[in-house]
Amino acid sequence: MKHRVAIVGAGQGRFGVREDASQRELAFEAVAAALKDAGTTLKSVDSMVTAVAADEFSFALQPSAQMHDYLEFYPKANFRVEGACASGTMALRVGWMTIASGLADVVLVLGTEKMTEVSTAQATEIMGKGGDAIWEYPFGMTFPGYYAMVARAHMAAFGTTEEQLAMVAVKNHFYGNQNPLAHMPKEITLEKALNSFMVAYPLKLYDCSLITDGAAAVILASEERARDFAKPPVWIEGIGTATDTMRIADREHLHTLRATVEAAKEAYQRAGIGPDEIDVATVHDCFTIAEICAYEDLGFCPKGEGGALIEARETYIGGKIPVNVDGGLKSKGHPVGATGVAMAVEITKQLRGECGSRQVPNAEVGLTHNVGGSGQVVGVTIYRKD
Amino acid sequence: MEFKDFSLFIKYTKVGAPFVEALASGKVFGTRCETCGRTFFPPRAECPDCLEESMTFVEIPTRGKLLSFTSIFVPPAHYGVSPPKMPFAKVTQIPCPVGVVEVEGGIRVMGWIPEVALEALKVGDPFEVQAKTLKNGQVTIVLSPI
Repeated sequence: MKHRVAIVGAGQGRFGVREDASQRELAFEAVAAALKDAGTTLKSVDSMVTAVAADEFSFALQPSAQMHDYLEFYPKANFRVEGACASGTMALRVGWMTIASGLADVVLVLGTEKMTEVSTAQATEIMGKGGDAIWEYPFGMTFPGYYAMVARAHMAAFGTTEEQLAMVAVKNHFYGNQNPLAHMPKEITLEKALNSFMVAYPLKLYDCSLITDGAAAVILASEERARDFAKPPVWIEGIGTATDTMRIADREHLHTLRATVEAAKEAYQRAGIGPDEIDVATVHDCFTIAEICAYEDLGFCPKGEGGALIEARETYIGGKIPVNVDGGLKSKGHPVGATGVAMAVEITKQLRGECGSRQVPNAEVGLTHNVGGSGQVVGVTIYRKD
Repeated sequence: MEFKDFSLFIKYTKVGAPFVEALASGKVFGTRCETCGRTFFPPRAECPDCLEESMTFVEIPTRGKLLSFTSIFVPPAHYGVSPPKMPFAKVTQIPCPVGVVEVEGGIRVMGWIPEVALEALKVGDPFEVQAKTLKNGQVTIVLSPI
């Protein structure tokens, strides 16, 4: 990339059903953790970007203002960026642009969502409108419903099995159980996943990510300032962003997220590397089928072989490419606006070697993959150790 | 007849009235650009290629094959089932499958699949797109096996 921007601080609060805290309090936890990680305070931050996916969860027209108010960040710049479940990565992109353009040297990127102020049925409805609110939602479509159609198409084309889907859940729960900030830190068995109740055929309870409250934050710095903080910088080496049709039905292949393919191509090109050079990745496992599609669409394996990749345990630590060893959206949780930023937090800590029992040995290059909706907007980011 | 009789929430669109009236009369309408001839489904009022607003409503082809399907067991609040007030009572919902059919010419149409059990559905099955008026007066699209 022409301009060099680094992550110099990374923090996440505890994900979960946070009945003890409001959204602004969750945001504060993450921002305080990121600032402490960088060994600095908000006084050294020039500008801020906030990711929140849905007003309906926040009961607010401008939830980002609640965040800068509670942080007492005023009068410095802050505004909201939205890209559904990819809001966090879009905010990271805007933060990168703010520094690369010379508008600021140090930027706080915050992502947060408080999803459990509403009932599960209401959350299902809010997320369902992540599809086409006019042409798809009337058919009772929900978020699991869209990915169920992706799954059915993938199974028909490539013979992917329900067992292979469940293996993704087993892996992500295995690692989530080692993440103290995860929403659902518990291991599950293949039998438990396969016998859980049907949400949207063929996706069962354990094929679905969680409805989670949470926040995550990173501090970005320009090349000139990147070494002024407590820890070595982690460099953003490539950013890719791409879009696709609103309606999944309009896509050439229902089993491929074209926006992932295109965003990855851009990110790899900017970083000057290919998928074989990635040591650790967080991918958007909002559903187990989404992780299998991500393996393929990011180039970790040929199209159609994602099911075989998890079956061969190649995405565990020690395999070809460890994926979602923080538990993923499946076990760590999926507070939609926070997710993209939380992925950047995880990769930053992996590249610094701070992840304890779930550390990928000698990780030098990392990748995050964050999907908005059912692939309407996707961000892929590549990071390198200093 | 209002567009909301199809869309549930959205009242206003340039293509609303002809679309829902066609559904009520048993037809599924798309639009065709008079300038370049491109056909659109769902119908739209402006052509993104020509930037013109010279659309004609046309019936779309109805025969095709099933591209994918699901059945939603955890419904959104709008279609949700309220828990019964009677002690020990249970409500079991059997949801109607939903699918996408690709008709001749490549247009993709989403619709309900009321006539086929979930277990009997297969990707690639021949299906037909039909307009349907429901008992409550709403209009929608159903997919029927050929």
